[in-house]
Amino acid sequence: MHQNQAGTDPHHVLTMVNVPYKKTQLYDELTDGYEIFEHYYDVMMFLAVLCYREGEPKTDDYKGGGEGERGSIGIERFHGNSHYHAIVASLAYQRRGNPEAMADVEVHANVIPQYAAGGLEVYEEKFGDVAGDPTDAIANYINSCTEDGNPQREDDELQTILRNFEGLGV
Amino acid sequence: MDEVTDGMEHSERELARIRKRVLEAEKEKLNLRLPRGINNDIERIIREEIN
Amino acid sequence: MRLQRLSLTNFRQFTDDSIEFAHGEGANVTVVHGSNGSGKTTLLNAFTWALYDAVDFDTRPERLATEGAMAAANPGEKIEVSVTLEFEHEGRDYTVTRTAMFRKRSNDDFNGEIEDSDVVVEYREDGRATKVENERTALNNIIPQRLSELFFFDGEDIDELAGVDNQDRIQEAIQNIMGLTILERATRHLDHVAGEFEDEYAKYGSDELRELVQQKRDLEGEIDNLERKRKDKQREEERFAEEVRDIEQKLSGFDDSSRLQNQRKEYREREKQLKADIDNITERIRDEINDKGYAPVSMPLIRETAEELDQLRQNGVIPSDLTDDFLDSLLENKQCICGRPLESASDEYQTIESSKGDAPAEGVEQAALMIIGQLSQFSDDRSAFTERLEQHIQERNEKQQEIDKLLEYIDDISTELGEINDAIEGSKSIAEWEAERDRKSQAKDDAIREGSRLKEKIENKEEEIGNLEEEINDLREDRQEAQLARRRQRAAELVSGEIEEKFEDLKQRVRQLSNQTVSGTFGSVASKDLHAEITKEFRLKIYQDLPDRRVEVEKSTGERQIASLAFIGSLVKIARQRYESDGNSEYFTGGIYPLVMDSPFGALDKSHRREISRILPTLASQVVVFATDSQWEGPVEEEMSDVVGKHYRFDFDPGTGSGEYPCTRIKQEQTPTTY
Repeated sequence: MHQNQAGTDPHHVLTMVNVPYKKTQLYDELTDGYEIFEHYYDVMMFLAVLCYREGEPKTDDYKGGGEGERGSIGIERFHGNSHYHAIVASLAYQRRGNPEAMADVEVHANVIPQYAAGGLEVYEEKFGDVAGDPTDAIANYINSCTEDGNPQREDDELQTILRNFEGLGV
Repeated sequence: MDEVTDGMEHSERELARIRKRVLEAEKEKLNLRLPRGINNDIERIIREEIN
Repeated sequence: MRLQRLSLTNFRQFTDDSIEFAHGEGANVTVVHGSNGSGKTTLLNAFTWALYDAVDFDTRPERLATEGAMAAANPGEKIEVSVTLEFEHEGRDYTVTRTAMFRKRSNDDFNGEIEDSDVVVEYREDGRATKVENERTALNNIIPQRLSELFFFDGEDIDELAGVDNQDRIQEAIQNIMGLTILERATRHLDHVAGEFEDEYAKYGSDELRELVQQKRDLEGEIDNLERKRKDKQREEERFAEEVRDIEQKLSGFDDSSRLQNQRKEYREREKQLKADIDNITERIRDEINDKGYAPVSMPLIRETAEELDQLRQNGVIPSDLTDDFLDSLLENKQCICGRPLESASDEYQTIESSKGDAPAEGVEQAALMIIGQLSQFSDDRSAFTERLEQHIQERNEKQQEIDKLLEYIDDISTELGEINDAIEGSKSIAEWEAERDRKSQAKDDAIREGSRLKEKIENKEEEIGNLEEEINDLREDRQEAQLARRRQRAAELVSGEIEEKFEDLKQRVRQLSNQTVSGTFGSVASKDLHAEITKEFRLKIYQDLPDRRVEVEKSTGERQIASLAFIGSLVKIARQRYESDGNSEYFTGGIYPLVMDSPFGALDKSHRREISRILPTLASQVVVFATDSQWEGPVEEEMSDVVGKHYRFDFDPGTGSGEYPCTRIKQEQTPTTY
């Protein structure tokens, strides 16, 4: 890992980049409340991919409005987890439309909360009227995502793409 | 035991008649709660049959 | 006797109502049902009032007139209460109308004072109308009052008939139905008359004879007293025996209760365990969501991105071979990418040097390769999530099903416990109940001992009488009057003995006849291998057939009722058979009687109600049943729908408002057989 000053090297993870986000009660509900997700950033990732799948990333009010709604998480939380890093890089790429975004930490920090905020709305739509424990509703929804496509064919396609990249140190 | 029977025989027919008449008398009064005078009727029957 | 119609005017809660009775083959049942207190018992009493001027009301027996009518009347006015019963008997159509006038004495007098009570009996035969003069006798000849308890039957007494020590009632019923009462009475009366003749004998005889006869009379008197005492002791014994049985039932209830409670506790613990298991599973589901839930949801994102990255690779935007190693080799070989020679410290050299590890292309490439590198993981996690989730859900469902079953069992047990605990009323502990049972058992034994002692005394005295009679026999009395009286006495005694023998013999014969029907009826409905029988001692017993022997069983309430009904049915049948075959025998009178039953279903469970419903229509040619709504609805209604010819409902208005009085209207319902 190269040591560089903050701001001069956008390509490497620095411990100082924070991700501001709109922190609603849902975060608490799904972690301390119903103990479905372990950390807030787990919730955020779920909301973000939920938004990518079914909604639109928000361009306003995604950092939180009033008191207690302005949350902040260090970017290393996402980069430290390999799935999340892949998701975050993909979201950045999809959002900005250019490959550089994949490696741009600041873009990541901007894009994550946009999708997370969009995900809040999707969540409300899908699970808003579930009274009490949403575990089953969420589990069933996630399961239905698999059934929506053709998992076998998709997996084959991914394998093909993976093999295409072999020889590149993958 | 002859002593018991002397003067005490009753013919079969006598007894049968008494029986028939007694039962008829009872039958007539069967459906009354208290068959008044039935004892007198029976007494009379026996007196009539045995004399 | 075939019932046709019953009409009531101002009779208790019936202001002006009537019922027609079903008759004929197939649909011979008339059913009347209503809520409790709506008037079923009143209807039963209407029959006996019309026929015999006899009523048996639990509440306010003196209040015959309808309260509403009395309320509306002024003091001094009279209310007419009447009941008309129309029936057919031996070719004649009878109309019996009993009327009673009640005068209201004061403003708050609801009973009224009875004036002018009258009964009118008429019949039509071949179109001609005739009035019957000796009403009481005529009615008693048609359906004797002594039989009315059998045919106008309060079902709540039905238990008594087949109750544990009710052989007297059974004997009485048998006697009554066959007119065997004649024989029983004849015996009694002849004995009495024999006594009179013996007194006469003594009157005309010697002093010695008088003395002996007097002694005999005295002994007879003593025996009567002892007999009375012995009967009292016997009743005492029976009463204590029943009390002991009740307590033992309570005690077994305690046993059952604790057994059931333990069972229920077990079930509850298992339920708790299962609930914990379910919570566990749900936790695991949550773990799956947290660990792998991202995968299925993010598939489109990853796929689309991967495809685009693949495209970039194809287009060369992501260099496929520009790595640190290559750059190093370029530097070593002092060659630029473009192929020109590199000079250390030249700008180009610097550029390439600085590209190493931080070429923009490499950061992007790194990110791209990182994403691609995750593809397998995403696929694997996605399938793993689905697989595991399904497993968890199935497991959870199985456990939930088990919980549902347990809840059912627990519920059943709780209900059963509730019933048992109701039966174990009172605040005594088990030890206290046992102590009381022992006391009563002791008291019963005492009564038995007393009874035996008395019996012995009686036997001794009878022996003494026997000796006296021998002495009396030995006396030769000379006077003709004495001899005549003696002969008459003997005649009476002999005839009495004959008749008594015949009586016992006939009772047994009727018992056997009755048994045929009883076992047939009982066998056709009762479950398990049970059969019912009236023993030689006229006890109604129920047996279970085992491979090698027969065992008497404790009758359940349901079985007792079925057996009692079967017994009554058998009597009705025998009476009818006798009537149709014997004509004018000395003592068999017989007759065709209807069966009017008030609440024969009592507190029975559904399956017993169903069974009783099946046999009721077969018991007599005409059957009238009163029941509560809840007894009627359900299995009873189902079983009887084919045989109900007339169906009525009591529409009871309790009259709770001021100025209102209880009133019942009788409403006719449709029956499938109405035509």
